[in-house]
Amino acid sequence: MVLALCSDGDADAKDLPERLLTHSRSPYVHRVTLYDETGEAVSPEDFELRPWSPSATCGKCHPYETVGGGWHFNAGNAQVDPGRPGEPWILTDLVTGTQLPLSRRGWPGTYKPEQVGVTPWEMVQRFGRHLPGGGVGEPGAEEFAGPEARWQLSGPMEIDCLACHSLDRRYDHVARARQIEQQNLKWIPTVTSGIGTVRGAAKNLPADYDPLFNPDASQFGGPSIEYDDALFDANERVFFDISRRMSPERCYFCHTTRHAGDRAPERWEIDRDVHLAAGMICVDCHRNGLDHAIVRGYEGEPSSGDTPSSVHTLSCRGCHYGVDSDSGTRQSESVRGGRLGAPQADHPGLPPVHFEKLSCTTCHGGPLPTGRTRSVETSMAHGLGLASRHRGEELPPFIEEPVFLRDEDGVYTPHRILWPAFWGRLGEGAIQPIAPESVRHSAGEVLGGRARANPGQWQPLTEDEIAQTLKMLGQQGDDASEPVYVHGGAVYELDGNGEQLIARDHPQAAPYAWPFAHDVRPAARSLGAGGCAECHGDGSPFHFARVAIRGPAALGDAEGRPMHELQGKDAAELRAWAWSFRFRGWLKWTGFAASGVVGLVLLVYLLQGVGRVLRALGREE
Amino acid sequence: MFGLISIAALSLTLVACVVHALATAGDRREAGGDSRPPEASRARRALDRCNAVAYVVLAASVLVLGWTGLVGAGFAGRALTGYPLLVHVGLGGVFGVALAVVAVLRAECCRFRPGASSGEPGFGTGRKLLFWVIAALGLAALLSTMCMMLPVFGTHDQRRLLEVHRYGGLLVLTATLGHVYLTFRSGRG
Repeated sequence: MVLALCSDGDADAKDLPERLLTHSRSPYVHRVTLYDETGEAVSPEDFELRPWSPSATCGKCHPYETVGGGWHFNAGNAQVDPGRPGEPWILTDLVTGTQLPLSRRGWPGTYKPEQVGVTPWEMVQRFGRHLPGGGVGEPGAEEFAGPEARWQLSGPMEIDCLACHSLDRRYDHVARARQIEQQNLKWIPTVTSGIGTVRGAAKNLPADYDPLFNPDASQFGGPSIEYDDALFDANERVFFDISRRMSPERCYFCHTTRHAGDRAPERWEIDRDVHLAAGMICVDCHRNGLDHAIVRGYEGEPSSGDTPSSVHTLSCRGCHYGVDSDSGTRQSESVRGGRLGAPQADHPGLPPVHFEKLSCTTCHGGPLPTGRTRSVETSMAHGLGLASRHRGEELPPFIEEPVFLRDEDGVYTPHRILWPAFWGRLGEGAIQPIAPESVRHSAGEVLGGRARANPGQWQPLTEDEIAQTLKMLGQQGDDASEPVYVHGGAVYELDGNGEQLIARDHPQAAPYAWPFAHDVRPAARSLGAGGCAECHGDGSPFHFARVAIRGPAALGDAEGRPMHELQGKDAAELRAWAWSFRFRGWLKWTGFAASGVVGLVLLVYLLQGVGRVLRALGREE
Repeated sequence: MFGLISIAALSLTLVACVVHALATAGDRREAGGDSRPPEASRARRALDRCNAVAYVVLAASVLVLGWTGLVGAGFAGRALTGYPLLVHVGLGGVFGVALAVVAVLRAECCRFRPGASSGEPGFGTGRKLLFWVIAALGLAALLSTMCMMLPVFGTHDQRRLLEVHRYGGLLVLTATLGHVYLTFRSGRG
């Protein structure tokens, strides 16, 4: 989109008079010269071949700093409103039984990476596979260092504009993961775009390697480039087939979800989102300007621009019904919906209270609820998109959906949840997580066997292993704090004898939940289309489905908790409601019969009264 | 908005009752116990008892419906949910039956007759008028909410029906309060 904006009459572009603009809705043909990180043109004929740099190449027309402030890149910016909770990065360690939600945005329930010693370098190494670059991939000077950081050799992981905007089916997301493994960060765009091939790895370079003295890194096994000459024209320019309207498949590399486990449907059984099936694409709703502040699309979303109504009419309700122009709330409908021909559904028979208590996605988004929540895998959490021999196995982190919880406005919304599992030290009421590496080191041989096993041999942590590890951590900690293991909604610690595990509640053991919206189902497949009892019946999944409590240890309640517990709803009240629905039919008959009788009495006496008046008038005449 | 209107309507009703009580205090003393009905047949007495029971049930259900509707939702400007809604819906059926019975049994007594403006003893013009208000608006409140249960009306129409139910219900409540007051004042049902 960055590149394509060059061809568009974007409002932001008026501030950039020195840049080349077309102001046409016809896409600009991006036949461009590549530039390296220093701004020098790249030619396949160069003696010393350098990787091309998106910041220098795309940034010629599209200001890199502006783009870099966008939602996909600004997690570390404290000035940015984090909005409603979103999917976190999950620090997963099979050996220590860790699944900890991380976010630099500070969403409640998540932990900042630095709290568990995860540096920007490690963030990139762990999660860069599904990062489009920028942000944590371009750390500031204060974040640059780290015990294992090798930024001076790897270079920064710049925003790879093509990761989202390329229409070329040869664009290779998986190559990004491979290059990150090789620590070839600044070579990523060269490889993923297919313009060049990179051999060697920056990780082979000695820590004191200096390219000024030894330009040929390949002597040390470092990266070397071979550009594909055929992709360069006679003027040494390359053609980028890009668009601001990229295929959903581009988005899906990082935003795929799939159900896991025995109950997971086959791929052919799953319908696409109804909007995609209708021919729309993700960016029809999730729009952005040059600042790349992508509309997340929920009601009440904060808007950084001066056109909040444009943002608010891109939520479900805003688009289909219209919303209040300033707040984007559901109270008023002063701004028209119907964008892109969005139909306004009638919802016959659905009492209006449902529109106050439920988000649209409760009935239309995600999978229909069943008696038990489903295990779900995501690209970000499980590295979907990358080939693995362990895809058929259910491995941590364990995410469950759909869990219908109330958001901060009290509106029910489908959520995915993760029960955090981590080791920590409990002191002064708060648990400070311990980095998995520290736990491995402290636990020694207790978890040593696990460290040597491959993922296919993974087994949940046992109570004995947890107790032993807590003992080891206790021997190494201070007196002011106590080692604990958080798992499945409880905190586990050793009893007074230091032998048995005891569990107790703690706010930090609560599940981290984030709302989700897709895939959207059509009306006929929505929750409630089969009648009121789908939600209000006794034992209905909406309130009574078991929310699985799953983590990397064999601890806790295998049955899970009923949904109403997490919703904070009284089961007796829900059952009373369900019970009352048995008589709903009678109530309707009684109500209509009574209405008929009263109506008849009124009609009879009204007619008598009218007749008397008419007779009186007749007598007067 | 509805919350404010509710408070205003109930306050006005209360004030009207107090003003009326003060204004008619002398008349009531004069009336004394002269308003007792004449001796009636056994069947008539049974019918009267039935009438009285239905009236009490109607008045009680209206008061509880008003309480749950206004305290549970109307005053706070939020939707009615939970136990208050459960009670509201359950008593709605009772209200409907009681209204039908009272309408049938009392309609004749509450007919406006030319030349008998003060009506029968105990059934003054005010009570007659309020009876017909309760019957008409009770029907509106009842029918609007019943229609909302049918898979016929869309969101826009449902909202209108809800407004009819709210305001109809509020007026039924105020009319019932007035009717109960007048009934107590007259000393007979």
